[in-house]
Amino acid sequence: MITFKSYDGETFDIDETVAVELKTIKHMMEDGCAGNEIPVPNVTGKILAKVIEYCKKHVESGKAEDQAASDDLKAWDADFVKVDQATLFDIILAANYLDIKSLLDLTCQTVADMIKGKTPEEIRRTFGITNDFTPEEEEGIRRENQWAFE
Amino acid sequence: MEEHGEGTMSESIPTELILEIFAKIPTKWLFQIRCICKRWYNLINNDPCLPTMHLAQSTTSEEEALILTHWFHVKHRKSTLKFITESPNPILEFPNVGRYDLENSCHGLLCFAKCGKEEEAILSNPLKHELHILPRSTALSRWPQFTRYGLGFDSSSKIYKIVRIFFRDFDWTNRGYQLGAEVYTMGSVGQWRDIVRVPHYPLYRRGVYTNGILHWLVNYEFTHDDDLKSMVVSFDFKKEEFNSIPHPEFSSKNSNWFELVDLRRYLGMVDFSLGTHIEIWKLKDYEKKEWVREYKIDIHPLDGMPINQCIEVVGVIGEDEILLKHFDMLVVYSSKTGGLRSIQTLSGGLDMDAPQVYVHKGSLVSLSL
Repeated sequence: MITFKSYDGETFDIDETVAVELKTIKHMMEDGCAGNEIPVPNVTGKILAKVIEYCKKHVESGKAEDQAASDDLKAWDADFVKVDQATLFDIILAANYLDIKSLLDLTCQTVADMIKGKTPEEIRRTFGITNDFTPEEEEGIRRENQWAFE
Repeated sequence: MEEHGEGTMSESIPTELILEIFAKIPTKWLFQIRCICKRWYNLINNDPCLPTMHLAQSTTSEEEALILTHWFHVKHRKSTLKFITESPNPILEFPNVGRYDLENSCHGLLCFAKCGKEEEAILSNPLKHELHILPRSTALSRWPQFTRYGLGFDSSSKIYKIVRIFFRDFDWTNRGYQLGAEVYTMGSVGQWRDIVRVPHYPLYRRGVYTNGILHWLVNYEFTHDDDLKSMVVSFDFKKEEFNSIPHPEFSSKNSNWFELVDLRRYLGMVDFSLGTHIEIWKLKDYEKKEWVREYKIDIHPLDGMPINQCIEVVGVIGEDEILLKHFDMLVVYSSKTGGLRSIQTLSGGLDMDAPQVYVHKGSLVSLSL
């Protein structure tokens, strides 16, 4: 059993098989830098809980090999990412820091899917991005690649 | 899930993660979102890592196929590339006069060769409006109109290379013709390197690039049935070697009845020799060289015309959907329903020849390497 301690002091007891999914932690353990309690300074308790939930589920499901189990896992993943935007981005940052490739892929794909299919105005609204182009500049860019808008 | 963000994507996310997200967005959408803000514009246009990251993702995803039309204006003798959309604006205009043939596409880059006696090879990423004319080789060809060019990527040295196969001379003692082959490395100082071991047969145009290897059919005008073991010649860009690919036993060994096609990462071979219908074989396992008969298309050409002269298999455009060109009509075959439906008739006006049509998988790869 390994204990993780989040940025805001929350502790989590997890199995070693789950802990090694977080590559950053795995390397710490291999290098002998990890004691009984591993600090995870960049991640809050709320996000660390989500990350651990993901890793636990994927370690458990890793044993099943059939199509049905794979479909179930995909459905579980789809539900897992149904969180508010701020949480989603926090999970992305955590997955990157903790080096959990599959979680990073899943969350980045989720954002990519959110972007795909929206108009530029909708994208700016959804993600709170300020348009720093002048209308003429923006029109010029659109004309460069008219085909992309059709 | 979609709330008003508190500037989540603008400040807190480091560039490397924005690139991870962009790499998962299909090309068409990436070009759309360039106008969102200056940061995104600069990343999509100029970031040196993004094209490779994006390419790696798009080989696994099912990106929407774009359909390009290649027109030749008979009076002005100028070639242009356009998308089959309402927009009349070409996406690419060839700088020099003359007809060009598409030799092959690789990683969203197109390789064209000029038709006729004046050799000229062009590389382009049409989506980025980039065009590069390759330096001419000093090794002259006796019949320049039969010169083949091919673009590929050497995955070990991570560079793009162009191979040129040409007729050196006529040799009375051997087969009658003597082929030469050279390679040009992109980014190098303009030298074509000789390849000693040349292919056994001259090649027919329109190569298909899959698995790091470019494939052509042998040119039927120069081959004799009895000698021929395989109609498919390959060139490995890493090893810089020519080889032969085994294929199914067909009733005909005349490559005039066949066509190679890109089946989305798989090499495809179209069999027109049956007359009543078209069959498309897929090289499912490249290592083991295992082919499967993937599609059987019932399509009837106009009376009297050989099927391979009026129908062309353009490529795969969707989930089991094949785009065909029947004279100036674009037709889609759905393998799910077995049905055919016309999607468009191509007409460019009085001065335009019937266009070439290509299925294009776009990329951000830049020619300024």
